[in-house]
Amino acid sequence: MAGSPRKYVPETEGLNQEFFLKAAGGTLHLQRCDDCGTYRHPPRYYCQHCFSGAWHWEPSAGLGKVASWVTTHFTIDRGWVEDLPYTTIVVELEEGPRLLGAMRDLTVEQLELGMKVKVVGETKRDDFVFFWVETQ
Amino acid sequence: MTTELSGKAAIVGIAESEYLRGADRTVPELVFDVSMRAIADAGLKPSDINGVIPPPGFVSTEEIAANLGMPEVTYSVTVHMGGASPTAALQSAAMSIAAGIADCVLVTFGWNGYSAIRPRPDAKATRRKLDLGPVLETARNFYIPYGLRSAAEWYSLYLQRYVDLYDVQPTDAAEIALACRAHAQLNDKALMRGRPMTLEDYLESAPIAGPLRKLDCCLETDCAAAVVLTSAERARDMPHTPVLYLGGAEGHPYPADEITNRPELLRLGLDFAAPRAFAMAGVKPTDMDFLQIYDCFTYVVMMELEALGICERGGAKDFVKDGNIRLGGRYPLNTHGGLLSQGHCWGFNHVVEATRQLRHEAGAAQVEGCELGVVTGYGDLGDGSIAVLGRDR
Ligand SMILES: [Zn+2]
Repeated sequence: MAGSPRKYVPETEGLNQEFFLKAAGGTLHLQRCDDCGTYRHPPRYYCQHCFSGAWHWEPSAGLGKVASWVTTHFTIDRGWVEDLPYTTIVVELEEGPRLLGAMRDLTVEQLELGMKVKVVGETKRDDFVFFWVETQ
Repeated sequence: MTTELSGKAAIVGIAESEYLRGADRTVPELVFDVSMRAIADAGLKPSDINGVIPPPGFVSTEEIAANLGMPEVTYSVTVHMGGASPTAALQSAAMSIAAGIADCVLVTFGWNGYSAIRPRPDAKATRRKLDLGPVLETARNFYIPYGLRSAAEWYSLYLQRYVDLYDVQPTDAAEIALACRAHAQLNDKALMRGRPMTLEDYLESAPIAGPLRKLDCCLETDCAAAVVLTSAERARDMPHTPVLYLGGAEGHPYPADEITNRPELLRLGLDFAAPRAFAMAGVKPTDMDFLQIYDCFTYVVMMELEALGICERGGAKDFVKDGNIRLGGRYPLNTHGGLLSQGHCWGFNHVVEATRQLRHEAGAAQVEGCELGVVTGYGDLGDGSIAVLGRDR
């Protein structure tokens, strides 16, 4: 839509940037501890369970369930005014970590805690991926 | 748990600016002015001050010392906990006094909470800004791209869960908004003086995000406040009845920089801090004569009341009913009108009001014969702070 204010796309750096670069390759990846196997998000340098600094990126299908959601009716973000009211969903991925994304192909009336959904990435720039939450 | 800090330091000077939607003066000018007045209120000169805790951003210790005339500063620190900073700073001030590092400490905060968002058309740009620090890195990457740009939206990530889990109704949260507005009618410095609110006004106010309506949200304000502390001994020779720092603490949710992956979504900083503060003070939450609770949003106040332990989990909706939190009730809350109806000074106006109450100088809002009170702070993504204050006997 020409003339519409653009939505915010962050300048990314460090581990967050690595996370988005991986996702921009077409597959969501989550950090996983080499020593205890625990997944984590957002990206961190050490494992919060065993304190190991050894980890790798593991591909994720982005499958999970609705953990919570928030509907916004008023925003100070000009890039989102035309989308009001919009709903943001927190998804608990099968691997454990929770990831936040924008609701798509769903209505608030359909949402239930625990309902199965999937996270789908849309690459906005090579180092930033926006996540949608859809039905599985 | 050490209780050695309890009762060692006292608040001896207070000052606050007007609460404005569009101040004529810059933030540093407001901060210098309230600092001068708080020092004078303590019966001191600026050169008596050797500890300074400036706000996170806007103005530095060096500038405060140079403008007011403090030739030897021995201690300076800044607290980065958003709206929990001023009340947390009281702990740093008390520690520096108890440790003998500083004799008299100035804590000050000011900001352009209105003008930064809604500048006058002729306003000059300023480089002086709030320093939120790197806590927002997670928000920049994972919340703001989704249109979750304000505190109302971020906090709704747990407030929505809170209201769903405990079946909290808008009419419950309204009790807090209405109490603050009623108390503001007694305060000359309240932005909302002369603008009373009814339950109908509240229920008709526009939805913002999650469970929040407009009248659940605090006011954008330009303002400043300052407090001076010294040792309890020295305080007894000063003009006002000393207000003792009996206990205090800061606490952080875990992880503090990200909301959605917290193992316990409803466990906020104050849940960690409150038990420590009451243990240090050697008193119970139910001993409090008044509550000055950080009221950025009504539902946050409810979670804080439960974190204090003054009511049980999910019990705030009953606690706030039947006039319990109104002046004349058992636990008068935000007797100055709070952030919701006096103005948003990062909760430092709560510290000023608590001090006025304990001096028995709160005018029409005076809680008769009060001896003990609590102040809370809340900021960033759920950081908490608390101070248990008492009138010197
Ligand atoms: Zn591990």
